[in-house]
Amino acid sequence: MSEERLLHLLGQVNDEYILEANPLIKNRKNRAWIRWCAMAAGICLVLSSVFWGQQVMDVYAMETSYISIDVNPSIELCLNKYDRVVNVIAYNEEGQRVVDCLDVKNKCYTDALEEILHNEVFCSYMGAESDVTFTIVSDKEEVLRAGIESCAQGMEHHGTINCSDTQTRQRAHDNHCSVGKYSAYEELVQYDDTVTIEECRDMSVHEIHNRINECKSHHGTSGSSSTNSSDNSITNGNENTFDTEYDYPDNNNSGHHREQHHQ
Amino acid sequence: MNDEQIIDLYWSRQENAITETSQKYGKYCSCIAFQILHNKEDSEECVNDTYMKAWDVIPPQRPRMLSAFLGKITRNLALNRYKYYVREKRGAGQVAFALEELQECIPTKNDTEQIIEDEIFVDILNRFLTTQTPKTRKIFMRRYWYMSSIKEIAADYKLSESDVKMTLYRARGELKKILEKEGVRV
Repeated sequence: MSEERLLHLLGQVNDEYILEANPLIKNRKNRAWIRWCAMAAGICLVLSSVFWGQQVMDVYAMETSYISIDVNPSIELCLNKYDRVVNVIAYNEEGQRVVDCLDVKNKCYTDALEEILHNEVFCSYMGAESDVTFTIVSDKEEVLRAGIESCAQGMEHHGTINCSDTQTRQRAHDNHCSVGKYSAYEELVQYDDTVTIEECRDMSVHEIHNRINECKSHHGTSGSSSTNSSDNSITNGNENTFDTEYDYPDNNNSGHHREQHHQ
Repeated sequence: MNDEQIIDLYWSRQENAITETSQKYGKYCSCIAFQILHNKEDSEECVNDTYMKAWDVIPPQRPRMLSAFLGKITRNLALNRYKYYVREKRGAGQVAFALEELQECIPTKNDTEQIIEDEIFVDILNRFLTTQTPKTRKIFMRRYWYMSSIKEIAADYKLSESDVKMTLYRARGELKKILEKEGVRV
């Protein structure tokens, strides 16, 4: 059979041509192609996960609201858009002592406040006449205020809830001071221009408020020199009072407006 | 283990040469044998015979490409076995079709003597393959060396069956022309 001979002779062609057409090598190439694709897809998946994760982390870590807590310890909670604590800043030694024994990061701000207000070190700075000032810098003041009020309901001391803005916070930071204490300083300096931020930094909020009241008495003004703010105070079961104040940007050197309504 | 090391095992007459060969090229040889015989048991026997043949010829031979060397042995053994089965009216597979198709390549104008040196003929085949495009060459080799079906070739190279058939038809025509030009009759 001549075609049979041809088939046998074809079997003796160059090895390269035999290997080139090897069906298994081709399959291996196919598998290699699939492997490369799978690897590329895996890498893309990992990179996109990392990228997406990074984006999520960036959004999560982005500070959008601030709650400053001032007694003498001055602490500032930095919250993200989910109202979780992403950073805690101490503005004085007392504040640092409190922060050192806190673990409030990534907690909801209400849980963080509960922890702070019941913290042993923090409570040790709370004298009989201590004032606690909460200062909110946020686009959603109402929500945060409601949360703070609910946390401070059982507190045995006089508490004040202020609202401020980012410009005031920036000025406070430039002066190494919490926004709450800086707002109090700005109010005091309206009555007593001899007082300095350095002095106020070492004073408790209660002392600054006393100085303000003294100055007001000296200037013949009452403590309720309110202008245009609504009544936002609440009273807890112990009949302690929470006042709400609003600080506005100091455009015309008028400082902030304070309004107290005691029930 | 690379091919050189396996060949060294053959040369030093170590029996694990066959184990290593089986591990590395068992599947390849089985694939070749099965395409011709279409019977698992026969293919396995054929592959075992390949190992024995390799054991017998290495040394003195030292194959340049062990895979092709083993593939050639397997193919020859499988074709011989196939011939036996055809004679015995047994067996199946693609060989009959491949043979029928290759008949077209054989010059018919001079049917006197059919004596030609195998080496010269193989040289012509090599020259023919060299002139082909890689795609055509691979399809041709898959069909007539590995005895793959048209369907398998089409699937492996992502072509339609008619494309494969047409490629093979043209290649056979070219081969026929070359053989006629060289005055070769198989």
